[in-house]
Amino acid sequence: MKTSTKNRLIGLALAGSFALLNAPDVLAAAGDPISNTATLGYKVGGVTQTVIESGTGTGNSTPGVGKGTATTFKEDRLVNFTVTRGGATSSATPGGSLQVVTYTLKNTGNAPQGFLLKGLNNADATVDPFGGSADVFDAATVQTFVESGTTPGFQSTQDTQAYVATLAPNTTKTVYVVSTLPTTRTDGVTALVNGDVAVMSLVVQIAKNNTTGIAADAIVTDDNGHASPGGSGFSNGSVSITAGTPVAAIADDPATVQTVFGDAAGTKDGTGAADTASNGQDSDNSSYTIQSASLTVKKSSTALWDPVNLNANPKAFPGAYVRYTITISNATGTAAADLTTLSDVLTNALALDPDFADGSSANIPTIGAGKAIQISNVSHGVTKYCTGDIGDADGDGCKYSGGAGGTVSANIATLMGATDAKLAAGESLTITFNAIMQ
Amino acid sequence: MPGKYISNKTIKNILLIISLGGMSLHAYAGKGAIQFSNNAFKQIMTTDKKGNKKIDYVKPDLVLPGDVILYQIKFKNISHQVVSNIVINNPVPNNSKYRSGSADSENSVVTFSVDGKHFKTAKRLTVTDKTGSSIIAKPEQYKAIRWVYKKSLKPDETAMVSYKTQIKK
Repeated sequence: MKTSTKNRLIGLALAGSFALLNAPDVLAAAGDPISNTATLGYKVGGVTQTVIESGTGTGNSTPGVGKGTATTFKEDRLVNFTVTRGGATSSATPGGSLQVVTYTLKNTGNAPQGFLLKGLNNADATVDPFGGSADVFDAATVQTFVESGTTPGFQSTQDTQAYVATLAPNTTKTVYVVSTLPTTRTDGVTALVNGDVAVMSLVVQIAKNNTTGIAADAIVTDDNGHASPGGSGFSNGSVSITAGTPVAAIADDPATVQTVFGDAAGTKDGTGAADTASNGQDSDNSSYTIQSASLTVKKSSTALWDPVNLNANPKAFPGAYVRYTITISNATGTAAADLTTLSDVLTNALALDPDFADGSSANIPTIGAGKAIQISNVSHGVTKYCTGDIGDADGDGCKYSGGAGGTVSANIATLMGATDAKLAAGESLTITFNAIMQ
Repeated sequence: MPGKYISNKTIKNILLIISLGGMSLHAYAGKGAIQFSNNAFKQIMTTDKKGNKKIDYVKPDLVLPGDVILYQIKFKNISHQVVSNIVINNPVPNNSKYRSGSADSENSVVTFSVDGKHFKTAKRLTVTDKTGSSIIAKPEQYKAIRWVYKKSLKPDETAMVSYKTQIKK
């Protein structure tokens, strides 16, 4: 009987301990009660006694499982998040629409939150965070959109939400600042040139979880004496947030969840002033850098063959063949250019050689009868040929209007395909054809 | 055994059983021999005008991720007898991770557990990693702490153990 009682007491002690040990091990979250109860076993006069669970304050002395009181307090709500620009300046073109700067928003607090968004220009001379030249122009129609997750990268038809409805702790959202760019600098006169920079800011305001992007959802004060500066133009211009009035830190209460702004200082706040820490807003700068293509087009000609001298020092007289080469080059340090079409009107003394003769003494077709035009992406080492038919009946992208003084037209994109019709910085492409003197 | 003489030794044993039974009944009926408390305090660090840093402990009213919490576990002998073989089992609270080296070991043998069943000293407590190798458990993997108090506790005597956690981020 004595042994049996002892075993039962030990059993109680173990049950009490393990039930507590099985408390779920989840990530910290605002509002979670943090709780535990210690268990004490002991002997009096060598006899094992019923375990005692801990109590708070002066403690508990009533033996038995369930007789103690858990030591409990609530985890408060830390409002914290970061706004981080993408890794490089965004190449942009003068007058371009839907020009995109990418940011990452991360909820580093301990509760799901909503966020309101605002894109901002910066004043001239603001430093480019990527080390480019200082700000010289402003973007127009600055908007913000959130990546929908359907297709990575900004898709204007998919990424249409202007705010973050909800973001769980330790998760991120990609946010785009999307703008239309001007063609001139801030002075309205000087045309934008390659290397010109517009420094942009993304300002993020903390909001209630599951926000619908409205001003009323903004959280503008915390329980720790801090307030948001608010600002206009959130949610793509439709929302103005009234600045919060700082409330003196309220009495702490272990039984309630209190909110504390923990955000770091950023670059600009919602009013355009410097973004300070613990104001419920965070921001970062990024930039657009003008980088358009700089194409040069050069046309040259050389006598290829004549009926008398053949290919030995040929002269330009009726019946002679003249080779024309048009070279399109993109300068170094520029954006890539997607070439589309090129047209060249021959003089009345010339007609297109339909077979692109090779300039040998026999002056035979280069690759066979009917192929009149040669296009080469010199940098890619890709050469293709097409016909000089009327109206591009065969659909190969090239045509000639016919007779003397006609127009040679080449759809470079059709013949070469997108990859080889693209000229990156420093690359060149040639269009070559022969004309026969009339 | 009716009518049989009962020896003095047998009488002593009966009295001893009654005595021990009385102690156990006393424990069930009302108070135990120990007043046992567990209180939490938030650790805060302040810096005075001279730049000297000072650590204080306050009520855990405003608690955020990353905060350090001190748990003080006190046990007082409120009986008239000596209490011995004191063992305290304490689960590491939820949302919290044990702070390495914070469990005091004065007058106690401190062991830890990663499963709530098997307790070992920090140097001998192991877990199995992804490769199947046995490695020393990290403090943040501890699920429970056990103190085996090496001394007896006299009437009215109070002892204390403590440890710290950090609220998970």
